[in-house]
Amino acid sequence: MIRALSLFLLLLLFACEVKPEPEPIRYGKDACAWCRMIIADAGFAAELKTKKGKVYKFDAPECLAAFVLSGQIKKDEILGMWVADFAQKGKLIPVEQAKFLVSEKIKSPMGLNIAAFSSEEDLEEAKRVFGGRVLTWEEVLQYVKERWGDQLHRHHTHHSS
Amino acid sequence: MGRPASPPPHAPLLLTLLLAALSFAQTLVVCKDCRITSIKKALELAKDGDTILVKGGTYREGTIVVNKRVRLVGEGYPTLDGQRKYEVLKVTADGVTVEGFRIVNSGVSELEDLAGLKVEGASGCVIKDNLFENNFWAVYLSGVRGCRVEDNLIKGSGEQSEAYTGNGIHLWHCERVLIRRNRIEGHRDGIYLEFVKDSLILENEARNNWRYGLHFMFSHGNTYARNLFERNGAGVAVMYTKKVVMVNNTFRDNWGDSSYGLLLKAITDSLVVNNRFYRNTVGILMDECQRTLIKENDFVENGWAVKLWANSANNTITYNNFLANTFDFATNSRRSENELRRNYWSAYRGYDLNRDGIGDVPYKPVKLFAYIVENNPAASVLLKSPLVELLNLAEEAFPALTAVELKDPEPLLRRVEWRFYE
Amino acid sequence: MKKSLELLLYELAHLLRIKGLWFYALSVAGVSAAFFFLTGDERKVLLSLLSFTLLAVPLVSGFFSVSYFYDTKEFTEFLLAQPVGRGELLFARWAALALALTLLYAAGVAAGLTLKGFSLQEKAGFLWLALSGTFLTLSFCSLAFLAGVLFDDKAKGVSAVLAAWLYFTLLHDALILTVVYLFKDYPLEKPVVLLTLLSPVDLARLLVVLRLDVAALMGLTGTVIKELLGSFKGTLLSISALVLWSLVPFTLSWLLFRKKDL
Repeated sequence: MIRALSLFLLLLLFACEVKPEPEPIRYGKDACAWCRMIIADAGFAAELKTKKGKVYKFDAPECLAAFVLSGQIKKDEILGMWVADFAQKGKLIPVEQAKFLVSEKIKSPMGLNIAAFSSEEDLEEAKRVFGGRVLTWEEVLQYVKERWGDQLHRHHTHHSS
Repeated sequence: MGRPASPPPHAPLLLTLLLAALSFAQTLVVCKDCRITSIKKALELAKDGDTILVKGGTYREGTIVVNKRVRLVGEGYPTLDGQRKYEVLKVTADGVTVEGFRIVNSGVSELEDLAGLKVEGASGCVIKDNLFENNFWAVYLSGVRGCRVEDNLIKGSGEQSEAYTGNGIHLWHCERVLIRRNRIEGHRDGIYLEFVKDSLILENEARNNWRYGLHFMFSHGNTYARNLFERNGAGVAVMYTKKVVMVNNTFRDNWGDSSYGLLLKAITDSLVVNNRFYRNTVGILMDECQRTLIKENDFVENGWAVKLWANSANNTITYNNFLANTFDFATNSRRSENELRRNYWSAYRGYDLNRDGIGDVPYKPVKLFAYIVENNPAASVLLKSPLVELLNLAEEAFPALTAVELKDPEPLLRRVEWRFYE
Repeated sequence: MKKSLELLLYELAHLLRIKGLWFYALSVAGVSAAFFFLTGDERKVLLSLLSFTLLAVPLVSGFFSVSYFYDTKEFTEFLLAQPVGRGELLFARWAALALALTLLYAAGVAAGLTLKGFSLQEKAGFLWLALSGTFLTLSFCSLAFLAGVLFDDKAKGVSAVLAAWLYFTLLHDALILTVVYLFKDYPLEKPVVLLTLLSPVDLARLLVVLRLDVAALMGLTGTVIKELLGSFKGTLLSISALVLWSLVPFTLSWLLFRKKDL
């Protein structure tokens, strides 16, 4: 018993060194931590990792934004956030480095029409095809708040008892 | 031959005029040895109201744009091949019929949703009796009103690829569409509806689609009935929608780590009546549901029959049969503001002394382990462990031990008889 | 080596004459036949048999082995007066016991299944169950020998084995549950899998459960656990852990026994 516990504490020490990298998303398997939908589109996924190493996966940037806005995880608990690069499917980039394009013609899974890009060229190319405006992550948060304001607090569901 | 596809307006005068006009409607025949050898050519020559009859063979014509009100009819299922490069058929005119074709190999694109058959901004289309194979998206309706998609057989590539398999029947910003008797397999979502109103989804069969059999988003006031959803990644997801009617559907063998028969996410004022849920990992998963009635359904041999999350309230679950599920119910909260009453539970061990058909002791369907796992998913590693089995036994022997308040105060002693409309 | 084998066979012959052991085999056969008659669904039979195995096999193996160890102490001493190595002797006795118990358990399950005919759908599942039952038998025989060598007093030895049984079947899982509650803000899949490595009963359970449909009920946690314990590497890991559980306690007792003067 004591042996087991001490071993576990040792493990926790290891676990404390959480790597600031996203965990791979299992498309078709993992479900969005905000909207519950099964994550299927590698052009729109997103991820959040806490300092304790817990990982939350999302099917769209707007769901990540909504999750952050809902305050389920405190700001200072967050280790990192990533979004999928729309132009390089499967690649996850830190939100701080991403540029977001909002256009009616982009059909992101939750209907807020947001896509993320890491390269300036891809962004320009997409803007040429879809039109729309370019936002930073902070502006995306603001945009989601405007569009979904009323929903953000109903959610508080998981792990309440 | 030459008869209109959709009925003309009702006014007799108009009818007469139209009949007169129709006498000039002609049929253009396309085949390899005919005067017209390409569908594009026929479309150039055609006038509104004409029929283009395409005979067997394979047609590789890039993207065929149908911008006139014509009936496009295939004889012997001629193949329209997109060669993995092009959108195959694109309909932009009102009142177009596409019938009897085999439409294959649409292009695949990162930026665009290329489809086997796309209808854009048109009304009154009829898409009937076609075979779709190996398309990125198969049938794609965007901004469409008053359309029918019937009797099509749709097969995706079956590849589970996160980027390159679209949906079987995809509707975006549509109204009054009838989707009936289609069979869809091997796509991402069998049928997908986003911002769709007042539509009917009837008698379709969606199998082996790698995400959902049917997927609803922000689509109010639709009905789906008598459909079969079998062995999809997950059965059906109905999300962020009001006033959905779900009747007489069968959800079967949607089994897997993150699978379920029916996900109700942010659903209000809806009906789930007379459905059958057989062997799904979760029968119905209810998250953020309000004022929804779940009545006269059969839940048979599911992992969990119902998962009801605490953010759901004012739902009524009544007169259902819960038969031989591993767990009947799970919830993540001790309290629940939902009505659970007069269901039949095969796991109920109570008695009925006054013989009124209603058990004298309430049934508490949430096992402690189900409650623990709902709050701490990692605890599921203890599935089937002797400790958990012991807890279950203890709960059965001493009902007071149950952690969760949720109970059926009037459990039925006999199975609810309701008729499944085959 | 040859002497070990002779001893082993002699011991085995002796063991197979004990009525209690046959009663064990008969109960196993009876229980599995009963499950088959109660439900035609093989998957349910398999799960019920798993529950039965997890509870009964460690208890019977442990308790019988430790009792046998003490009851035949005089005979052991007699044998030690003969030209026979202490280590060899202990090994032969342990191996014979483990073999007898495993055979009888397997025979019991097989007999139960034959009553229903051999047309099994879930052959692989039943094989995994047999493997898991075998490892449980070996582990608890080993633990029993360790207790036997550690304590001269029979009461103490038997209590120690019963305590181990109680710990591994119930308390260790309670510990896992506590850990899951206390550290719910952390990603727990890996720590939890590591904790299961510390219990032969958990390992034996997962060895079967991960191969069955029912594993889907573990949800996405299950996906991770399947990768960690159910993949090829993971299976190797869990089987290695079970081999260690089967051999390490006995090896310890063997080392102690060789040095000890009775």
